[in-house]
Amino acid sequence: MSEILLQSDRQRYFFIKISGEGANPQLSTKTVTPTKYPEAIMKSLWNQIEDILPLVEKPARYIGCEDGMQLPEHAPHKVSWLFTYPDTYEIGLPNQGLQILYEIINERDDAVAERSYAPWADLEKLLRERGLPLFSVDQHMPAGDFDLIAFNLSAELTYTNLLNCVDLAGVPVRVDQREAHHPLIAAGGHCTYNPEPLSDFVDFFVLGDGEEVVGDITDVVRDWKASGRNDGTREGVLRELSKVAGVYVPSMYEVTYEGTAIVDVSPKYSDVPEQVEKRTVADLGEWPYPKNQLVPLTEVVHDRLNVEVFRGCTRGCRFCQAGMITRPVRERPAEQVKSMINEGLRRTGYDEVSLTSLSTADFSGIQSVVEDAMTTDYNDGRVSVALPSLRVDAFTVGMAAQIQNARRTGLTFAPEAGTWRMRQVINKLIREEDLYGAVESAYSQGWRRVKLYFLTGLPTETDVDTLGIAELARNCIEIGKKYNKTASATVSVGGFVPKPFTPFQWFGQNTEVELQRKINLLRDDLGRARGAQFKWHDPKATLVEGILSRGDRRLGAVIEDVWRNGGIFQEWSEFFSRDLWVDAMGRAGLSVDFYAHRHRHEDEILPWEHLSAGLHKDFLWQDWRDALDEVGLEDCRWTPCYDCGACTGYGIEHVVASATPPAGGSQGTGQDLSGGGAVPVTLLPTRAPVATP
Amino acid sequence: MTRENPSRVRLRYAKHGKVRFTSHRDMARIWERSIRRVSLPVAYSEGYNPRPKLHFGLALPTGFESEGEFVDIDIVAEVVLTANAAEAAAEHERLSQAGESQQPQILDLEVMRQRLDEATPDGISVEALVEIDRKETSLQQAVTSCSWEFTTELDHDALQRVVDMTLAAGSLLLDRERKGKQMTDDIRPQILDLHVVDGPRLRAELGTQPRALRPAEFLQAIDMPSKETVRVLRTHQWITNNVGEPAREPLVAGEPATANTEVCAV
Ligand code: B12
Ligand code: SF4
Repeated sequence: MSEILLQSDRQRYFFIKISGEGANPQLSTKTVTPTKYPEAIMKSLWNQIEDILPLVEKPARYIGCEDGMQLPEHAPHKVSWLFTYPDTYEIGLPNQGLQILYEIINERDDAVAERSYAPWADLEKLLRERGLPLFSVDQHMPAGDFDLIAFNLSAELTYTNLLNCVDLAGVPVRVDQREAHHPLIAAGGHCTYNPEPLSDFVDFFVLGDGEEVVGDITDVVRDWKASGRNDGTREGVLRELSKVAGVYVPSMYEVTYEGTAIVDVSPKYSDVPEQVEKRTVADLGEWPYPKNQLVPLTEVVHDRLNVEVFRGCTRGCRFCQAGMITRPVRERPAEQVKSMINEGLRRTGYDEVSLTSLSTADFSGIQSVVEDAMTTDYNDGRVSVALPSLRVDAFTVGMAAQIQNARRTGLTFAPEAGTWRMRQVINKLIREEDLYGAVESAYSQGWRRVKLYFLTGLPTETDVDTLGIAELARNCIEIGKKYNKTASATVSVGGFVPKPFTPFQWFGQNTEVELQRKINLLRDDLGRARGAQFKWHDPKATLVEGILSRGDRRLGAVIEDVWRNGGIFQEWSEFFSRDLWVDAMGRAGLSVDFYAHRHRHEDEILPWEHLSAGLHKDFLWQDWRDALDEVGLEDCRWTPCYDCGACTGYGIEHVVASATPPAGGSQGTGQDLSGGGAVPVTLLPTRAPVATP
Repeated sequence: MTRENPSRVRLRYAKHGKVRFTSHRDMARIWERSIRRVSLPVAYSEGYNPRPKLHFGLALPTGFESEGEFVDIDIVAEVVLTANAAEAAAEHERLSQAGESQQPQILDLEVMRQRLDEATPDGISVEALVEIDRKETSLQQAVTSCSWEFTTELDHDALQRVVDMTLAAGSLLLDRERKGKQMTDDIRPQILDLHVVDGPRLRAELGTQPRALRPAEFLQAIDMPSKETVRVLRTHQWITNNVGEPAREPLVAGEPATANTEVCAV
């Protein structure tokens, strides 16, 4: 391993010394033993790290060495990115977003990228005791020596891990305490559509697809480095970055409150855009990444080849943020998918490929791609195809028969709600017959267990809807019993968290007590069904997700408080603590009701008002009203455009090879959607903002 | 023209550096993937969830390095094994002379060894690959002792004192758990050899039958300070069939590839 001297790094340490701030001005006050910065050169810490790895659980997650790993050569003129997933290696390594960006950056002559993941608590303790910082897994370089530490944010409960990683890197957690020599802290991924709760800690956020924008960011940072990266210029580089389309620099915006309400969000300078638009890659076919998917040496979730078959989804499920913010649909050409599968399997040695997207059965080329994968001569044809995110109305016997030839991968269907009325409200327009047809296909082709996924706590939900979940599950198991006496179904129920940029962004989340009541109702009812295995997401966690999902900048104090009180790995049940959050809310003088349970007004200024996923607010509002009227909306991929803004606003359009839904299905096929309306709904308004936070 | 049964090959590899932190389970998956990458025609088990037929030797604990690890692999019956290019060509020639209409796949073990060496992660080196008799005792049962090298904080003299005391002891009691029960065992008979080598390092040969004395247990029994951070290297695995007979290795590193072409039924 080479040791590389970074000229600019040398300068910045020199700067620290003469400014007389002591050895570690950038350290947070959290640890008793300060993380010591290594010498003034970027130098691998492997020798120190290998000494402590025998003392930790699963040390293989810290060694890198994956097939596909890159060992880029650092140099003073190059922009160095450290892509970090704020969760364990097992969860973070499979993240395709970061793998794509890692490759794209390393293809450039003027930039390098390495990776890092949140160390588990045992390693963190040892690192802090020995004064060692967070490190990259590729070359074990100290995180604080990179120019950018760039996070993927996929789940709200990982937010405190972001702070912990920044602190472990030896960087002050708060934006306003950082100096020119500190890395820029960045974040992208779905949660950045409402980044406000993290705006105290992250220098800039990226909205949307990262493929192109990481290049634009690299250009700006490279020029800044070349100009000497002097004291006082951090603000300058951030201002430059704020002009890059898709980049949001929260410190360039002023938020004004009146009481609890936000009354204004505006840029501090005239050259900073009033509204930040997301980035969208128009043609996925131009980005056949990752070309060298990382093959970990130790077991991770999603331990298989992943090939993204399309991005975006216009089925229009109203609870689904991913579907709304990633519009329009951009399919990868089927031929490209086939070659990515073939080459990918041979290169990685995997015997399973997952075709990822938000609704894989909708892919125009699905039939021929699956056929091609199943008839490969690789591994004597022993290849399994996993289809995550299957819509039940598109899963057929043919497809079941096709994908079962090697090993039966788990099959998950997501009807999401228990009654047709409820499914009209959420615009998941699959009929009971569709579900039964799909599970019948599976059971008849030899599956003994299927997984059914539902949400509870949806707008207008009554106990009839909740109990409908149990009814559907029982009927599915009955069908299974026709084929196999031991047929069973796992029924997973999650509490609904309203998300920004969805039609349900105005809806007040169910309380923890209400969600628990519904879960108990289901548990008692399903308890009597043989073959049903009931699992649910902890309503306490749903509550915290709800606070953060639609939170504003005032939550910064809460996140920091929770982190300082040891609240890391909050998405892990052994670490999660509801009380840490609720107490911190109390200390900050903020109301849980205000953030999580309150219905919002049409004219309320939402914390993410100055950000844009292309979607017109009036489109979302209309869709919300339609939801309450139980009116469904067809898929715009196969019907005329509703002008939601996602295409029309950016001059792009769907890239879809087939003019009809490939596997049929009840949506978008002219079925009469006007039924429903059986349960009258009054839901919205009247309730004024609750209490003062 | 095929054999009655799959043939079996034995592979020897070394594990050094960062990859030492992978577990035995991780290694099993690494082998499965590597074998698929080089299209080695491995035989699969029957049944609901077919798995490639790999037979692993004694597990190497996570964090330890090794110069001698072994895995036996079953190769589908339809494949003819050879050990070098000339032999492969001759075999082809012979088969076509014999008027075989269907040419079987011919697998050159030396080429395969090199390809596996490339397909495995840095730190894993494939050092020999030969065909063995399917009737040979499994690695786990055949191996009777392992030699280990320990790099510690102690200097030469301190290590020598440890050696002298250990060897002089008539018995060495160790509390350990077996099948959920707390047991006290005398492990002294399992220490077959112990001495200090340059470095300074401690070298020990520890018995593996009927139950292996693990290096961690050995370090505990001799009271090695900071035993968690001692660096451990397995240098050899030994098979001793009869008392007094010289021990042999399951397969020597660098041993030329060999195939028992004569077992082919033509
Ligand atoms: C594979 C997968 C998983 C895997 C692997 C996750 C992982 N580490 O990435 C596993 C099973 C672990 C998983 C778990 C969960 N997941 Co998941 N998962 C997916 C899935 C199917 C694919 C993700 C993917 O690879 N996308 C493709 C890549 C290319 O897109 P991307 O990651 O968004 O990255 C692009 C941009 O966002 C951007 N970008 C991303 N990061 C960064 C960083 C920087 C610095 C920049 C500049 C840009 C940038 O650039 C990338 C390229 O354009 C998606 C559905 C989907 N198709 O998106 C759900 C999805 C992301 N998961 C989701 C959820 C809810 C979860 C869980 C919370 C579920 C749970 N309740 O436990 C957990 C959270 C785990 C965690 N702690 O983070 C939701 C997120 C919903 C939301 N935010 O509204 C999704 C969208 C599915 C859904 N429709 O519900 N998931
Ligand atoms: S702009 Fe039109 S076509 Fe594009 S996603 Fe929105 S509704 Fe669909």
